[in-house]
Amino acid sequence: MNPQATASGGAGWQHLNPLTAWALPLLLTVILVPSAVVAAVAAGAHGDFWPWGVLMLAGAPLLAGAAALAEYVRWRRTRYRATGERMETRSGVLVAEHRSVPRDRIRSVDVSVEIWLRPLGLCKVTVGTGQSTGSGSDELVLAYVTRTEGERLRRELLLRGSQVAAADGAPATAEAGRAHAGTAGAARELARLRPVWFGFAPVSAATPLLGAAAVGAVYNVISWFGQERANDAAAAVSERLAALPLLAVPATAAVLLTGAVAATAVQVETWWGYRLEREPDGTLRLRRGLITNTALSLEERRLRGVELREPLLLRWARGARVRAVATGLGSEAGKGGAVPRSALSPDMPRARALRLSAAVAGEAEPPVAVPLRAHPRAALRRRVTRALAAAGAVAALAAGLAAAPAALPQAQRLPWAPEQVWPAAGTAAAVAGVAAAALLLLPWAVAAYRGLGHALAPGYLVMRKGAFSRSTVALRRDGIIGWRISRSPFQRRAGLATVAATTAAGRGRYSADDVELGAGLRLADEAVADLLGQFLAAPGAQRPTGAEAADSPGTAEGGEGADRGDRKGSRGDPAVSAGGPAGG
Amino acid sequence: MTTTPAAVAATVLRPPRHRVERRAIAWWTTRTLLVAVPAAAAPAAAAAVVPEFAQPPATLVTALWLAAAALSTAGLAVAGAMPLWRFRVHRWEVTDTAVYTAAGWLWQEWRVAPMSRIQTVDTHRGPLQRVFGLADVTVTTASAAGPITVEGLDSGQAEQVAAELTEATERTEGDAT
Repeated sequence: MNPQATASGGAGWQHLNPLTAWALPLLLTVILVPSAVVAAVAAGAHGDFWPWGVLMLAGAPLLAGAAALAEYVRWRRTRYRATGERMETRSGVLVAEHRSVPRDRIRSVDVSVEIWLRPLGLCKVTVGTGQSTGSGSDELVLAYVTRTEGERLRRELLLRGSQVAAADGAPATAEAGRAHAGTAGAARELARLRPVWFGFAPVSAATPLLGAAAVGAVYNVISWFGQERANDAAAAVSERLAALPLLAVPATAAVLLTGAVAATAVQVETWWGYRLEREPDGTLRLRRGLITNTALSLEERRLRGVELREPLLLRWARGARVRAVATGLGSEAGKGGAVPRSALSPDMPRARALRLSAAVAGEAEPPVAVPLRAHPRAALRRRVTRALAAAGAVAALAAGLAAAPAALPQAQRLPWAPEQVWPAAGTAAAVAGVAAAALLLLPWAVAAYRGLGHALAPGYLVMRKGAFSRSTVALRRDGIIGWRISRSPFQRRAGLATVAATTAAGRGRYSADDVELGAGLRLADEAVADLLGQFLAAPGAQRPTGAEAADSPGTAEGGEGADRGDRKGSRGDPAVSAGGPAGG
Repeated sequence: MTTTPAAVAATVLRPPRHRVERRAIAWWTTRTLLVAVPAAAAPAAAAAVVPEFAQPPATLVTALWLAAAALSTAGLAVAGAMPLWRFRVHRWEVTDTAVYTAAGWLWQEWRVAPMSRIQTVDTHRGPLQRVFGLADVTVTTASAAGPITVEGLDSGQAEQVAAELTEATERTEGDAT
């Protein structure tokens, strides 16, 4: 079973497991042959066995055979090796591809076992890296190797001892002082699934979506038996609803119930057997999955923080979920899966999620739970203005659409629409728009404002935002690799700014939106020592590093200060001819 | 935080020390006109030419003329105001420990990256920039949130800055994440 080394340009190259060539054809056979037989029998009963039934019976093995051939060629052409310094893969049938990643850039190793691979003892290994490796993707995928080989790769690729960690700069040195010294030898469990947590599944945003999808599916199934019939059924249902509007209540309830059941099923499939452990070699190991078993290993020194996610409905149910802010886990969106790869927990009670976030971060107190400072009232005004503008636009659009036909020449008017209806409809639409604003947009504005917050915790910068999906990020300060401060014209008028910390992990940028300019700059200055401070200026208390005359806006209004100083300093600037970077 | 609100409000970012090349104004103006002139000319040309061959409704022709007028007004306004405004905002500075830039005009942005986290330094010269003898210097870090770019440097100076930055970055160790 264990792949043997082959001689192809250097030592240590290994093939994928030979069974790889059989996995996909086997799956196709299992699916196709029975359905082909059923179809052939049905065709025979219909009197069409020749040629349709024969075609189907012959086609299934042909397809499986073609897949087997393609997979065999792929298996022949794919090799990988893990040397002391690099992880390399060679692949490609028509275009030879060679990808090579330095071992110290490997961030995560993901071992997943799909259900149809289980009888073959195979698994898929996905190696996450922090850099693009040529063809755009930032991961290497080995499909498929044996379970034991997958486990060996998982251990070996992440276990590199302390010499690499020592050479890795600031985050690693901070890591060295972290408190998992007492765990030497055995893995320490941070969290384990409690089935009651599946009770949170129905309050996810997926419930109405899945419910609607179920209705669509029913319609589709009916339309297999004729489009007419499906349309008739839809018409009958809507007629019944129109005649008895109260029926909408049980109907909606039924749809939502279906959606809730489906959402729960998805949660169970995704998170069954959930366990999060801290292994003695400094990795976090996440295992989950009912049908597809997934085991994700994440190096802790790649962790730059934790994120607490509280979508609206989950928040009302006092639940939350935990995500990792780590390099090499891909960006925000998960690739095809139900959850992103940065997800560290299913929906769980908020208090439990807080404890888990603290454990993941290696802190005694959860950094995401520190008291946050609210943003200025001007941030609320901006959101209310936005809500009112949106409502006004909706109302104006509705009124315009309603009024437009009346403005058309008599000849072009629609014959079926009595003229008196239009002004009434326009008024109604405008009123509806305003009502929608009051009922939806204004609460949204207030919730968005109340979601805003920021604070400095020991070692962390904590930022929160979001009305519908509230997210609290605790970003490790030594993981911040830059700042972006941006101001729109409106923000400048209101004295606000968006202060964003850039990082190599997660979304790449986490921001405190609409903070008061001075407070935001001081926050950034205090969060990371010796970075932004040299560019800050306070009137009356100039820093020695300040530039020539650039910073004397004699006003306390921070919003104007930057601009005015800019204009002032622009005259007679000697630096243009300086030709190079100025020393500090 | 024990600072008074007034003291907090007083903290500002001082502008970076160096301005970009003055020729950048001409470059930005040209770039704007290269977009604005065809955009305004297209509906005008259509409004002038189409009635020669067909009988379009009068409202359509009027609408085309109006669109041409609106586009040319907007284009001229941007071409007149944006380059000077941008020139006042765009500035850059390199210290021993960090790269610092200011950019934008209506929407303004200040970016800071520590020298120790810089991964690559590139210079870039587009065809139009070559006409004006200008170049961009782009500094990337490991963040997915985008690089720091200084637009509109003199091309010789850009090479020099890039070389010095590269040298400074090579002195730092680690993978800069």
